[in-house]
Amino acid sequence: MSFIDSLATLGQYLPAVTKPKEKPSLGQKLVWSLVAVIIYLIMASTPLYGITSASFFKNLILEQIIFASTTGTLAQLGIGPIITAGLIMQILAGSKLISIDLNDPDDRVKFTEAQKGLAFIFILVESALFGYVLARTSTTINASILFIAGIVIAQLIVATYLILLLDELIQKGWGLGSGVSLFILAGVMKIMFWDMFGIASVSSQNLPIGFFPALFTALASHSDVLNLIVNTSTKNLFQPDLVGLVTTIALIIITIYLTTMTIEIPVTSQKLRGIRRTIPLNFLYVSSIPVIFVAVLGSDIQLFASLASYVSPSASNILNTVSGVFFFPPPNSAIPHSIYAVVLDPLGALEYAVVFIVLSILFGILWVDVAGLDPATQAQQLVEAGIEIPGVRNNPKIIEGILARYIYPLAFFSSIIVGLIAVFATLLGAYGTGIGILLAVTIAIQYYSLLAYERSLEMYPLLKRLIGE
Amino acid sequence: MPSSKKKKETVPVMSMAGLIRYYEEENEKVKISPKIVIGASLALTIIVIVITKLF
Repeated sequence: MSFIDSLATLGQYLPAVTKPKEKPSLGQKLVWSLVAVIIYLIMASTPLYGITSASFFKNLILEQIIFASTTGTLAQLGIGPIITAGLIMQILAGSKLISIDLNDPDDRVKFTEAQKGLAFIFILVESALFGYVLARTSTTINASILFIAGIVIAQLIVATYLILLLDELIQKGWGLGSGVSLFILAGVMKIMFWDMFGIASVSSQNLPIGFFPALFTALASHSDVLNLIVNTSTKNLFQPDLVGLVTTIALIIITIYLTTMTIEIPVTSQKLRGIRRTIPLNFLYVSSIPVIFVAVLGSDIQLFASLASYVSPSASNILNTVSGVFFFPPPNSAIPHSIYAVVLDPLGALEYAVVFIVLSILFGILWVDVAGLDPATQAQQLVEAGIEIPGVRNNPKIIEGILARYIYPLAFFSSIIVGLIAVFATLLGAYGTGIGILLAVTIAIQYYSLLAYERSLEMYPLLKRLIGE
Repeated sequence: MPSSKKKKETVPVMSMAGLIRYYEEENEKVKISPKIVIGASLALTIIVIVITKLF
Protein backbone atom coordinates (compact mmCIF):
# COMPACT_ATOMS: atom_id res chain seq x y z
CA MET A 1 0.00 0.00 0.00
CA SER A 2 1.55 3.29 -1.12
CA PHE A 3 1.84 6.51 0.89
CA ILE A 4 -1.03 8.10 -1.03
CA ASP A 5 -3.26 5.03 -0.60
CA SER A 6 -2.69 5.04 3.17
CA LEU A 7 -3.62 8.73 3.37
CA ALA A 8 -6.68 8.16 1.15
CA THR A 9 -7.85 5.29 3.38
CA LEU A 10 -7.50 7.52 6.44
CA GLY A 11 -9.41 10.29 4.62
CA GLN A 12 -12.21 7.85 3.75
CA TYR A 13 -12.87 6.94 7.38
CA LEU A 14 -12.89 10.51 8.67
CA PRO A 15 -16.35 12.07 9.17
CA ALA A 16 -17.40 14.05 6.09
CA VAL A 17 -20.25 16.39 5.21
CA THR A 18 -22.88 14.95 2.88
CA LYS A 19 -23.42 16.55 -0.52
CA PRO A 20 -26.81 18.23 -1.01
CA LYS A 21 -29.30 15.91 -2.76
CA GLU A 22 -30.51 18.78 -4.90
CA LYS A 23 -28.67 21.99 -5.64
CA PRO A 24 -29.52 24.69 -3.05
CA SER A 25 -30.75 28.07 -4.29
CA LEU A 26 -28.41 31.06 -4.29
CA GLY A 27 -30.18 32.42 -1.20
CA GLN A 28 -29.67 29.15 0.69
CA LYS A 29 -26.01 29.03 -0.35
CA LEU A 30 -25.48 32.56 0.92
CA VAL A 31 -27.15 31.70 4.25
CA TRP A 32 -24.99 28.56 4.74
CA SER A 33 -21.84 30.53 3.83
CA LEU A 34 -22.74 33.37 6.20
CA VAL A 35 -23.52 30.97 9.07
CA ALA A 36 -20.19 29.16 8.52
CA VAL A 37 -18.24 32.46 8.56
CA ILE A 38 -20.06 33.72 11.67
CA ILE A 39 -19.32 30.45 13.50
CA TYR A 40 -15.70 30.66 12.39
CA LEU A 41 -15.44 34.23 13.74
CA ILE A 42 -17.08 33.15 17.03
CA MET A 43 -14.52 30.33 17.35
CA ALA A 44 -11.77 32.84 16.57
CA SER A 45 -13.02 34.95 19.50
CA THR A 46 -13.36 32.10 22.02
CA PRO A 47 -10.22 31.77 24.20
CA LEU A 48 -8.87 28.27 24.78
CA TYR A 49 -9.69 26.93 28.24
CA GLY A 50 -6.66 26.67 30.50
CA ILE A 51 -4.62 29.40 28.81
CA THR A 52 -4.06 32.88 30.25
CA SER A 53 -2.32 34.44 27.27
CA ALA A 54 -0.78 33.20 24.08
CA SER A 55 1.73 36.03 23.79
CA PHE A 56 4.36 33.41 22.89
CA PHE A 57 2.75 33.21 19.43
CA LYS A 58 1.70 36.82 19.00
CA ASN A 59 4.49 37.56 16.51
CA LEU A 60 3.10 35.08 14.00
CA ILE A 61 1.41 37.92 12.07
CA LEU A 62 1.67 36.40 8.61
CA GLU A 63 0.47 33.09 10.02
CA GLN A 64 -2.67 34.84 11.31
CA ILE A 65 -3.45 36.19 7.84
CA ILE A 66 -2.54 33.29 5.59
CA PHE A 67 -4.02 30.64 7.90
CA ALA A 68 -6.89 32.85 9.16
CA SER A 69 -5.85 31.93 12.69
CA THR A 70 -6.28 33.86 15.93
CA THR A 71 -3.74 33.43 18.71
CA GLY A 72 -4.97 31.84 21.95
CA THR A 73 -8.43 30.94 20.62
CA LEU A 74 -10.19 27.84 19.28
CA ALA A 75 -9.00 29.02 15.85
CA GLN A 76 -5.35 28.92 16.97
CA LEU A 77 -4.48 26.66 14.01
CA GLY A 78 -7.11 28.17 11.69
CA ILE A 79 -7.04 26.65 8.22
CA GLY A 80 -3.27 26.05 8.48
CA PRO A 81 -3.42 22.24 8.35
CA ILE A 82 -5.86 22.33 5.39
CA ILE A 83 -3.73 24.73 3.33
CA THR A 84 -0.39 23.10 4.20
CA ALA A 85 -1.69 19.61 3.38
CA GLY A 86 -3.30 20.85 0.17
CA LEU A 87 -0.19 22.57 -1.10
CA ILE A 88 2.06 19.60 -0.24
CA MET A 89 -0.27 17.23 -2.11
CA GLN A 90 -0.39 19.53 -5.14
CA ILE A 91 3.39 19.86 -5.29
CA LEU A 92 3.77 16.07 -4.97
CA ALA A 93 1.21 15.49 -7.74
CA GLY A 94 2.54 18.26 -10.00
CA SER A 95 6.16 17.18 -9.70
CA LYS A 96 5.09 13.54 -10.35
CA LEU A 97 6.58 12.40 -7.03
CA ILE A 98 3.32 10.51 -6.53
CA SER A 99 1.76 8.68 -9.46
CA ILE A 100 -1.70 10.17 -9.78
CA ASP A 101 -3.66 11.11 -12.89
CA LEU A 102 -6.04 13.96 -12.10
CA ASN A 103 -8.00 13.30 -15.30
CA ASP A 104 -9.02 9.89 -13.93
CA PRO A 105 -12.15 10.06 -11.69
CA ASP A 106 -10.80 7.34 -9.34
CA ASP A 107 -7.50 9.15 -8.88
CA ARG A 108 -9.30 12.45 -8.31
CA VAL A 109 -11.30 10.92 -5.46
CA LYS A 110 -8.12 9.37 -4.04
CA PHE A 111 -6.31 12.73 -4.30
CA THR A 112 -9.03 14.59 -2.37
CA GLU A 113 -9.26 11.89 0.31
CA ALA A 114 -5.47 11.77 0.70
CA GLN A 115 -5.45 15.56 1.06
CA LYS A 116 -8.01 15.28 3.86
CA GLY A 117 -6.05 12.47 5.52
CA LEU A 118 -2.85 14.53 5.44
CA ALA A 119 -4.72 17.58 6.79
CA PHE A 120 -5.91 15.44 9.72
CA ILE A 121 -2.33 14.31 10.45
CA PHE A 122 -1.26 17.97 10.43
CA ILE A 123 -4.13 18.78 12.83
CA LEU A 124 -2.91 16.10 15.26
CA VAL A 125 0.77 17.10 15.04
CA GLU A 126 0.22 20.87 15.25
CA SER A 127 -2.36 20.51 18.05
CA ALA A 128 0.09 18.40 20.07
CA LEU A 129 2.93 20.90 19.58
CA PHE A 130 0.79 23.97 20.24
CA GLY A 131 -0.95 22.36 23.21
CA TYR A 132 2.34 21.44 24.85
CA VAL A 133 3.95 24.86 24.25
CA LEU A 134 0.84 26.79 25.37
CA ALA A 135 0.58 24.65 28.53
CA ARG A 136 4.25 25.32 29.31
CA THR A 137 4.12 29.07 28.70
CA SER A 138 0.78 30.27 30.04
CA THR A 139 -1.78 28.53 32.18
CA THR A 140 -4.29 29.33 34.90
CA ILE A 141 -4.89 25.83 36.22
CA ASN A 142 -2.98 24.46 39.17
CA ALA A 143 -2.31 21.03 37.66
CA SER A 144 0.40 19.11 35.85
CA ILE A 145 1.61 20.48 32.52
CA LEU A 146 0.69 17.24 30.74
CA PHE A 147 -2.89 17.41 32.04
CA ILE A 148 -3.30 21.02 30.86
CA ALA A 149 -1.61 20.19 27.56
CA GLY A 150 -4.08 17.32 27.11
CA ILE A 151 -7.06 19.64 27.62
CA VAL A 152 -5.66 22.25 25.20
CA ILE A 153 -4.75 19.59 22.60
CA ALA A 154 -8.28 18.11 22.76
CA GLN A 155 -9.82 21.57 22.21
CA LEU A 156 -7.50 22.28 19.27
CA ILE A 157 -8.10 18.92 17.56
CA VAL A 158 -11.89 19.15 17.80
CA ALA A 159 -12.05 22.86 16.85
CA THR A 160 -9.67 22.55 13.89
CA TYR A 161 -11.43 19.45 12.57
CA LEU A 162 -14.75 21.33 12.81
CA ILE A 163 -13.15 24.17 10.80
CA LEU A 164 -12.15 21.57 8.19
CA LEU A 165 -15.78 20.38 8.10
CA LEU A 166 -17.07 23.96 7.80
CA ASP A 167 -14.81 24.40 4.77
CA GLU A 168 -16.03 21.08 3.33
CA LEU A 169 -19.65 22.11 3.95
CA ILE A 170 -19.22 25.23 1.81
CA GLN A 171 -17.11 23.53 -0.85
CA LYS A 172 -19.43 20.54 -1.34
CA GLY A 173 -22.20 22.78 -2.61
CA TRP A 174 -24.08 23.87 0.51
CA GLY A 175 -22.34 27.23 0.41
CA LEU A 176 -20.68 29.42 -2.18
CA GLY A 177 -17.05 28.99 -3.22
CA SER A 178 -14.75 27.59 -0.56
CA GLY A 179 -14.56 27.99 3.21
CA VAL A 180 -10.80 28.50 3.09
CA SER A 181 -11.27 31.60 0.92
CA LEU A 182 -14.10 32.97 3.03
CA PHE A 183 -12.17 32.52 6.27
CA ILE A 184 -9.07 34.25 4.85
CA LEU A 185 -11.24 37.09 3.52
CA ALA A 186 -13.03 37.46 6.88
CA GLY A 187 -9.70 37.45 8.75
CA VAL A 188 -8.10 40.10 6.53
CA MET A 189 -11.22 42.29 6.64
CA LYS A 190 -11.24 42.04 10.45
CA ILE A 191 -7.60 43.22 10.64
CA MET A 192 -8.16 46.03 8.09
CA PHE A 193 -11.31 47.20 9.86
CA TRP A 194 -9.49 47.20 13.20
CA ASP A 195 -6.53 49.11 11.74
CA MET A 196 -8.94 51.80 10.59
CA PHE A 197 -11.62 51.92 13.28
CA GLY A 198 -10.45 49.86 16.29
CA ILE A 199 -11.30 51.72 19.49
CA ALA A 200 -9.04 49.65 21.77
CA SER A 201 -5.78 47.78 21.38
CA VAL A 202 -5.59 43.98 21.68
CA SER A 203 -1.92 43.35 22.38
CA SER A 204 -2.19 39.53 22.22
CA GLN A 205 -3.20 39.82 18.56
CA ASN A 206 -1.09 42.89 17.69
CA LEU A 207 -4.28 44.87 17.03
CA PRO A 208 -3.63 48.56 17.77
CA ILE A 209 -6.03 51.47 18.21
CA GLY A 210 -7.33 52.27 14.72
CA PHE A 211 -6.07 55.16 12.60
CA PHE A 212 -9.26 57.24 12.75
CA PRO A 213 -9.88 56.95 16.53
CA ALA A 214 -6.17 57.74 17.10
CA LEU A 215 -6.40 60.73 14.75
CA PHE A 216 -9.53 62.12 16.46
CA THR A 217 -7.92 61.64 19.89
CA ALA A 218 -4.74 63.43 18.76
CA LEU A 219 -6.70 66.32 17.22
CA ALA A 220 -8.97 66.67 20.24
CA SER A 221 -6.06 66.73 22.69
CA HIS A 222 -3.92 68.96 20.41
CA SER A 223 -1.10 66.41 20.53
CA ASP A 224 1.46 65.58 17.84
CA VAL A 225 -0.08 64.06 14.70
CA LEU A 226 3.25 63.48 12.90
CA ASN A 227 3.34 59.93 14.24
CA LEU A 228 0.01 59.31 12.54
CA ILE A 229 1.39 60.42 9.18
CA VAL A 230 4.40 58.07 9.44
CA ASN A 231 4.70 55.83 12.49
CA THR A 232 8.19 56.33 13.95
CA SER A 233 7.30 55.11 17.44
CA THR A 234 9.29 52.25 18.96
CA LYS A 235 6.53 51.69 21.55
CA ASN A 236 3.45 51.35 19.31
CA LEU A 237 5.04 49.25 16.57
CA PHE A 238 1.73 48.42 14.90
CA GLN A 239 0.14 51.90 15.04
CA PRO A 240 -1.51 52.44 11.61
CA ASP A 241 -0.48 55.64 9.82
CA LEU A 242 -1.65 57.81 6.90
CA VAL A 243 0.98 56.41 4.50
CA GLY A 244 -0.35 52.92 5.26
CA LEU A 245 -3.95 54.02 4.65
CA VAL A 246 -3.11 55.63 1.28
CA THR A 247 -1.07 52.54 0.32
CA THR A 248 -3.99 50.27 1.23
CA ILE A 249 -6.47 52.20 -0.94
CA ALA A 250 -3.99 52.46 -3.85
CA LEU A 251 -3.14 48.77 -3.60
CA ILE A 252 -6.79 47.70 -3.70
CA ILE A 253 -7.39 49.82 -6.84
CA ILE A 254 -4.20 48.55 -8.56
CA THR A 255 -4.98 44.91 -7.72
CA ILE A 256 -8.55 45.19 -9.03
CA TYR A 257 -7.26 46.80 -12.25
CA LEU A 258 -4.56 44.16 -12.80
CA THR A 259 -6.91 41.28 -11.97
CA THR A 260 -9.41 42.36 -14.63
CA MET A 261 -6.72 42.83 -17.34
CA THR A 262 -6.55 40.09 -19.98
CA ILE A 263 -4.35 39.11 -22.93
CA GLU A 264 -6.48 38.04 -25.91
CA ILE A 265 -5.51 35.14 -28.21
CA PRO A 266 -7.53 35.05 -31.49
CA VAL A 267 -9.20 31.66 -32.16
CA THR A 268 -11.86 30.05 -34.35
CA SER A 269 -14.17 27.11 -33.69
CA GLN A 270 -14.57 24.00 -35.87
CA LYS A 271 -18.30 24.01 -35.10
CA LEU A 272 -18.86 27.70 -35.83
CA ARG A 273 -16.79 28.27 -38.97
CA GLY A 274 -16.11 31.89 -39.88
CA ILE A 275 -16.89 33.22 -36.42
CA ARG A 276 -13.73 34.57 -34.85
CA ARG A 277 -13.39 35.09 -31.14
CA THR A 278 -10.65 35.37 -28.57
CA ILE A 279 -9.51 33.39 -25.56
CA PRO A 280 -8.70 35.73 -22.68
CA LEU A 281 -5.66 34.84 -20.58
CA ASN A 282 -5.59 36.66 -17.26
CA PHE A 283 -2.75 39.17 -17.06
CA LEU A 284 -2.20 37.95 -13.48
CA TYR A 285 -2.01 34.42 -14.89
CA VAL A 286 -1.04 32.81 -11.59
CA SER A 287 -3.35 35.04 -9.51
CA SER A 288 -2.06 35.44 -5.93
CA ILE A 289 -0.80 31.84 -5.77
CA PRO A 290 2.98 32.62 -5.65
CA VAL A 291 2.40 34.96 -2.72
CA ILE A 292 0.33 32.29 -0.92
CA PHE A 293 3.11 29.74 -1.40
CA VAL A 294 5.83 32.10 -0.11
CA ALA A 295 3.68 33.13 2.84
CA VAL A 296 2.78 29.52 3.73
CA LEU A 297 6.44 28.50 3.54
CA GLY A 298 7.52 31.44 5.72
CA SER A 299 4.66 30.93 8.17
CA ASP A 300 5.34 27.22 8.56
CA ILE A 301 9.07 27.74 9.12
CA GLN A 302 8.37 30.48 11.68
CA LEU A 303 5.69 28.37 13.36
CA PHE A 304 7.94 25.33 13.72
CA ALA A 305 10.82 27.57 14.86
CA SER A 306 8.60 28.83 17.70
CA LEU A 307 7.49 25.33 18.60
CA ALA A 308 11.01 23.87 18.32
CA SER A 309 12.35 26.27 20.95
CA TYR A 310 10.86 23.94 23.58
CA VAL A 311 12.10 20.75 21.95
CA SER A 312 15.46 21.59 20.36
CA PRO A 313 16.85 25.13 20.88
CA SER A 314 19.59 24.60 18.25
CA ALA A 315 17.03 23.57 15.60
CA SER A 316 14.92 26.55 16.65
CA ASN A 317 17.85 28.94 16.10
CA ILE A 318 18.45 27.59 12.60
CA LEU A 319 14.74 27.80 11.71
CA ASN A 320 14.52 31.33 13.16
CA THR A 321 17.45 32.46 11.02
CA VAL A 322 15.84 30.98 7.90
CA SER A 323 12.37 32.37 8.70
CA GLY A 324 13.87 35.82 9.35
CA VAL A 325 14.21 36.52 5.61
CA PHE A 326 10.45 36.02 5.08
CA PHE A 327 9.47 38.87 7.38
CA PHE A 328 10.02 42.60 7.52
CA PRO A 329 10.42 44.17 10.01
CA PRO A 330 11.92 41.15 11.84
CA PRO A 331 9.41 39.66 14.35
CA ASN A 332 11.10 40.53 17.66
CA SER A 333 12.68 43.86 16.68
CA ALA A 334 11.76 47.30 17.99
CA ILE A 335 11.13 48.56 14.45
CA PRO A 336 7.71 50.05 13.64
CA HIS A 337 5.61 48.46 10.90
CA SER A 338 5.71 51.50 8.62
CA ILE A 339 7.83 53.02 5.85
CA TYR A 340 10.15 54.25 8.62
CA ALA A 341 11.34 50.63 8.98
CA VAL A 342 13.05 50.94 5.57
CA VAL A 343 15.00 53.95 6.87
CA LEU A 344 16.03 52.05 10.02
CA ASP A 345 16.94 48.78 8.27
CA PRO A 346 17.47 49.27 4.50
CA LEU A 347 19.51 46.06 4.10
CA GLY A 348 16.84 43.99 5.84
CA ALA A 349 14.21 45.51 3.54
CA LEU A 350 16.30 44.69 0.45
CA GLU A 351 16.96 41.12 1.62
CA TYR A 352 13.23 40.61 2.29
CA ALA A 353 12.26 42.03 -1.13
CA VAL A 354 14.79 39.93 -3.07
CA VAL A 355 13.94 36.65 -1.29
CA PHE A 356 10.21 37.26 -1.60
CA ILE A 357 10.26 38.13 -5.32
CA VAL A 358 12.67 35.32 -6.30
CA LEU A 359 10.54 32.75 -4.44
CA SER A 360 7.37 34.24 -5.99
CA ILE A 361 8.81 33.63 -9.48
CA LEU A 362 9.85 30.06 -8.63
CA PHE A 363 6.48 29.19 -7.10
CA GLY A 364 4.58 30.92 -9.93
CA ILE A 365 6.30 28.85 -12.61
CA LEU A 366 5.92 25.70 -10.49
CA TRP A 367 2.19 26.41 -10.11
CA VAL A 368 1.71 26.68 -13.89
CA ASP A 369 2.89 23.07 -14.22
CA VAL A 370 1.17 21.79 -11.07
CA ALA A 371 -2.28 23.23 -11.79
CA GLY A 372 -2.47 22.25 -15.46
CA LEU A 373 -2.02 25.84 -16.64
CA ASP A 374 1.00 24.85 -18.76
CA PRO A 375 0.94 25.24 -22.58
CA ALA A 376 0.76 21.45 -23.23
CA THR A 377 -2.37 20.95 -21.09
CA GLN A 378 -4.02 24.12 -22.41
CA ALA A 379 -3.27 23.15 -26.05
CA GLN A 380 -4.75 19.69 -25.49
CA GLN A 381 -7.90 21.24 -24.01
CA LEU A 382 -8.26 23.61 -26.99
CA VAL A 383 -7.93 20.74 -29.48
CA GLU A 384 -10.46 18.62 -27.54
CA ALA A 385 -12.88 21.57 -27.50
CA GLY A 386 -12.52 21.94 -31.28
CA ILE A 387 -10.92 25.37 -31.05
CA GLU A 388 -8.24 26.39 -33.56
CA ILE A 389 -5.79 29.26 -33.85
CA PRO A 390 -6.24 30.87 -37.31
CA GLY A 391 -3.48 30.01 -39.79
CA VAL A 392 -2.12 27.20 -37.62
CA ARG A 393 -2.44 23.43 -38.15
CA ASN A 394 -4.70 21.81 -35.55
CA ASN A 395 -1.82 19.94 -33.93
CA PRO A 396 -1.44 20.09 -30.11
CA LYS A 397 2.37 20.43 -30.39
CA ILE A 398 2.15 23.47 -32.70
CA ILE A 399 -0.58 25.11 -30.60
CA GLU A 400 1.50 24.38 -27.49
CA GLY A 401 4.43 26.27 -29.04
CA ILE A 402 2.24 29.30 -29.71
CA LEU A 403 0.66 29.24 -26.24
CA ALA A 404 4.11 28.88 -24.63
CA ARG A 405 5.00 32.29 -26.10
CA TYR A 406 2.18 33.79 -24.01
CA ILE A 407 1.92 31.56 -20.95
CA TYR A 408 5.47 31.42 -19.59
CA PRO A 409 6.16 35.18 -19.93
CA LEU A 410 2.75 35.84 -18.35
CA ALA A 411 3.51 33.46 -15.48
CA PHE A 412 6.94 35.04 -14.98
CA PHE A 413 5.80 38.67 -15.05
CA SER A 414 2.60 38.10 -13.08
CA SER A 415 4.66 36.36 -10.36
CA ILE A 416 7.01 39.36 -10.25
CA ILE A 417 4.07 41.79 -10.14
CA VAL A 418 2.21 40.06 -7.29
CA GLY A 419 5.53 39.69 -5.44
CA LEU A 420 6.29 43.40 -5.89
CA ILE A 421 2.79 44.41 -4.78
CA ALA A 422 3.08 42.30 -1.62
CA VAL A 423 6.60 43.59 -0.86
CA PHE A 424 5.86 47.29 -1.43
CA ALA A 425 2.63 47.12 0.56
CA THR A 426 4.46 45.54 3.50
CA LEU A 427 7.32 48.07 3.31
CA LEU A 428 4.84 50.97 3.20
CA GLY A 429 2.86 49.61 6.16
CA ALA A 430 -0.41 48.76 4.37
CA TYR A 431 -3.28 47.71 6.64
CA GLY A 432 -3.66 43.93 6.75
CA THR A 433 -0.21 43.51 5.10
CA GLY A 434 0.43 43.30 1.35
CA ILE A 435 -0.22 39.56 1.24
CA GLY A 436 -3.49 39.98 3.13
CA ILE A 437 -4.77 42.68 0.77
CA LEU A 438 -3.73 40.73 -2.34
CA LEU A 439 -5.54 37.66 -1.06
CA ALA A 440 -8.62 39.60 0.04
CA VAL A 441 -8.96 41.45 -3.29
CA THR A 442 -8.42 38.38 -5.50
CA ILE A 443 -10.82 36.31 -3.37
CA ALA A 444 -13.43 39.11 -3.41
CA ILE A 445 -13.19 39.34 -7.22
CA GLN A 446 -13.55 35.55 -7.53
CA TYR A 447 -16.65 35.75 -5.35
CA TYR A 448 -18.06 38.59 -7.43
CA SER A 449 -17.70 36.43 -10.57
CA LEU A 450 -19.16 33.42 -8.76
CA LEU A 451 -22.17 35.41 -7.56
CA ALA A 452 -22.78 36.78 -11.06
CA TYR A 453 -22.57 33.23 -12.47
CA GLU A 454 -24.96 31.79 -9.86
CA ARG A 455 -27.42 34.66 -10.33
CA SER A 456 -27.49 34.25 -14.10
CA LEU A 457 -28.20 30.51 -13.67
CA GLU A 458 -31.12 31.32 -11.36
CA MET A 459 -32.51 34.01 -13.65
CA TYR A 460 -32.17 31.96 -16.85
CA PRO A 461 -32.84 28.27 -16.06
CA LEU A 462 -32.20 27.38 -19.72
CA LEU A 463 -28.52 28.17 -19.14
CA LYS A 464 -28.32 25.24 -16.71
CA ARG A 465 -29.20 22.83 -19.50
CA LEU A 466 -26.80 24.51 -21.92
CA ILE A 467 -23.82 24.13 -19.58
CA GLY A 468 -24.97 20.71 -18.38
CA GLU A 469 -25.72 21.50 -14.72
CA MET B 1 -17.96 -0.38 -13.20
CA PRO B 2 -14.21 -1.06 -13.18
CA SER B 3 -11.99 1.95 -12.91
CA SER B 4 -10.13 1.18 -16.14
CA LYS B 5 -13.35 1.64 -18.09
CA LYS B 6 -14.15 4.95 -16.48
CA LYS B 7 -14.11 7.83 -18.88
CA LYS B 8 -11.14 10.13 -18.51
CA GLU B 9 -12.19 13.74 -18.43
CA THR B 10 -10.95 17.08 -17.33
CA VAL B 11 -13.24 18.54 -14.70
CA PRO B 12 -13.07 22.23 -13.82
CA VAL B 13 -11.59 22.49 -10.35
CA MET B 14 -12.11 24.89 -7.50
CA SER B 15 -8.79 26.56 -6.93
CA MET B 16 -9.76 29.44 -4.67
CA ALA B 17 -6.90 30.26 -2.31
CA GLY B 18 -4.74 27.85 -4.29
CA LEU B 19 -6.34 24.58 -3.24
CA ILE B 20 -7.48 22.04 -5.78
CA ARG B 21 -10.15 19.63 -4.62
CA TYR B 22 -12.57 17.38 -6.46
CA TYR B 23 -15.94 16.62 -4.92
CA GLU B 24 -17.84 15.30 -7.94
CA GLU B 25 -17.70 11.74 -6.58
CA GLU B 26 -17.99 10.63 -2.98
CA ASN B 27 -16.34 7.68 -1.30
CA GLU B 28 -16.52 8.59 2.39
CA LYS B 29 -17.61 6.01 4.95
CA VAL B 30 -18.88 8.35 7.70
CA LYS B 31 -21.27 11.06 6.53
CA ILE B 32 -22.82 13.81 8.63
CA SER B 33 -25.30 16.53 7.80
CA PRO B 34 -24.22 20.19 7.70
CA LYS B 35 -26.61 20.97 10.56
CA ILE B 36 -24.62 18.63 12.82
CA VAL B 37 -21.38 20.45 11.87
CA ILE B 38 -22.94 23.82 12.72
CA GLY B 39 -24.44 22.42 15.95
CA ALA B 40 -21.18 20.78 17.03
CA SER B 41 -19.21 23.99 16.38
CA LEU B 42 -21.64 26.04 18.46
CA ALA B 43 -21.72 23.37 21.18
CA LEU B 44 -17.92 23.31 21.43
CA THR B 45 -17.78 27.11 21.69
CA ILE B 46 -20.49 27.22 24.37
CA ILE B 47 -18.87 24.38 26.38
CA VAL B 48 -15.45 26.10 26.33
CA ILE B 49 -16.97 29.46 27.37
CA VAL B 50 -19.02 27.87 30.19
CA ILE B 51 -16.06 25.84 31.54
CA THR B 52 -13.84 28.94 31.44
CA LYS B 53 -16.45 30.91 33.42
CA LEU B 54 -17.06 28.11 35.96
CA PHE B 55 -13.47 27.03 36.63
